[in-house]
Amino acid sequence: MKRLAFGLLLVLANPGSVAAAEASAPGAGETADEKSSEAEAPAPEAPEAKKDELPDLSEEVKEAAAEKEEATSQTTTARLSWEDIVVVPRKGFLKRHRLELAPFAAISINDSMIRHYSFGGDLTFYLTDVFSVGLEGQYFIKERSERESLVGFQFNRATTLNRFLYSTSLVFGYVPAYGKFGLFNKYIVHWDVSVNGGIGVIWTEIIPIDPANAGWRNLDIMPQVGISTRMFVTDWLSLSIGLRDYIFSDKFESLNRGNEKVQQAQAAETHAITNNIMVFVSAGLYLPTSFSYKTPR
Amino acid sequence: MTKKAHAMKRGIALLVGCLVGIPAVTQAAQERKSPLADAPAIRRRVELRDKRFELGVGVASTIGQDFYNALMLNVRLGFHITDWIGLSVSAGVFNLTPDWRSSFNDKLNDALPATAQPGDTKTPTRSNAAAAENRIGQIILPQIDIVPFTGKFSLFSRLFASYDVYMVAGPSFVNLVKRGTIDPSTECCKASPYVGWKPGVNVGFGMHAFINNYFAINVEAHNLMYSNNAAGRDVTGSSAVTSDDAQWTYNWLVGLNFMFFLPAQAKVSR
Repeated sequence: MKRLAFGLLLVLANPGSVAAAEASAPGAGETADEKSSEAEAPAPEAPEAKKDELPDLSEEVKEAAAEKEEATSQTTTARLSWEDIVVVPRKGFLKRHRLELAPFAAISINDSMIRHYSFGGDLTFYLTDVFSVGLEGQYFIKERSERESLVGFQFNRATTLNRFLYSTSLVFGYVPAYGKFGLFNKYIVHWDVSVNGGIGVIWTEIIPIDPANAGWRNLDIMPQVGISTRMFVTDWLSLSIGLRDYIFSDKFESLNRGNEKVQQAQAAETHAITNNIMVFVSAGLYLPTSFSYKTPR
Repeated sequence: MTKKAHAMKRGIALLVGCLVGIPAVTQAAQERKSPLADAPAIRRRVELRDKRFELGVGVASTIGQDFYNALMLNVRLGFHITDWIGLSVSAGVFNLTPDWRSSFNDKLNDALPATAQPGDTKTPTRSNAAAAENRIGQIILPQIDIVPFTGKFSLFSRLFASYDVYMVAGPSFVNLVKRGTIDPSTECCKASPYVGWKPGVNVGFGMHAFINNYFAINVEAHNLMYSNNAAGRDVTGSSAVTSDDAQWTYNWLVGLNFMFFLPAQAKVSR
């Protein structure tokens, strides 16, 4: 009984070694079964053993120790194998048949008289991994620049300005390039570049040169083009930065407006093509939140 | 051996099997890891920058200037101390378009009178307005380059190139120049062009796309912050043009350069 207890103690003092090897090495089940059957099989009785004495298990303990050593070497072999490396890795992120909800913030960069900030969102469905269709909506906040405020003071002239209110568009996207980069040679980050184009409408509002006059709103057809780059952070999150150019024919207050009412002023309004280039940052949230590969590794 | 002893032995063996097996499986799961787990992200990487000089020429253009944009002949020189940090100088040495008016200035120019209007003491003439406005003559940007992002990309699966994306920071020196002379006989108000070398701050980012190990296309964007009075006119309402009328301004400059790296051979990492 003492021998059995001693043997048990020895085995317990080296936990995990045997099964650890078997779990990671091919043929694991066999070894475990063998061990199990060995353990379960009645040991051959020693001829000199008396009927009342328990059998000598020292041989079993030695065999277990030998198996442990063998298994440890198998573990090492498995850990150093190159089975996890494939010649052509799969794309790091799949978008096909996923919905992306991307809240964004943007700032206009090409108008030195008036700057617009915008907040909005894109709702995009990916038909394939590279083609998408979506809706965009945004709300603008205006900020008149210092240069604009100095025009009257320095040149005795007034500027005619419109503010943007909000817009919505139908947008089609295409991903022509994707890749990955190393960050300080420690992390691999997947990214892609997408180009998009679409058409929508924008609501703008006249800012009267004379504050005593009333302004009015315009509704303009608004084509747009854009380019952006996107980094994939997790299976369901990406971060983007991009440029979008909204091109539309807007209506402006005439510089010669006196104190006419809106209807008369509208009759004298002027038209000009407006290019509103905006820089965007956005975070894309994807549904479903995970994806699975259809092809083998 | 008695039947009782045999059953006890079998029970103990089963217990041993369970006790050994449970932690072992857990340990196995922990021990099984990819051979790439502790490896560097990229092996045998061509270190395209480490201990190499870069020099090249190109063009740089301002964006969104109030009165005059500048398309400049640009020179860029640099030395990379390691693969991720370097020192460089980017310089716009010659303004190719000193009369490139912004769209705002075009409209303003159209709205200003060609000649002085009798009795008008507030409106400058076109030529006097233009003579008071400054424009960029030269730009010198000594800067530190930090290169955290490096990688490869493919375009339409046809063009493959290594690239890096870097950030720059440093001082800026911008030479503001005038063009033309204010005619005092027709000038309505006080005006004086704000000219000379102006120190400031430069921050930006850029990218190299390596066509091979020694030639790269470089795109760079800078935000130059310096004090300026671009109109050369009163801002504070003092009826005089002084240094108090100058204000800190943000000025975007983007450049496209063609860069050569020396020595032509690049090291390969382990």
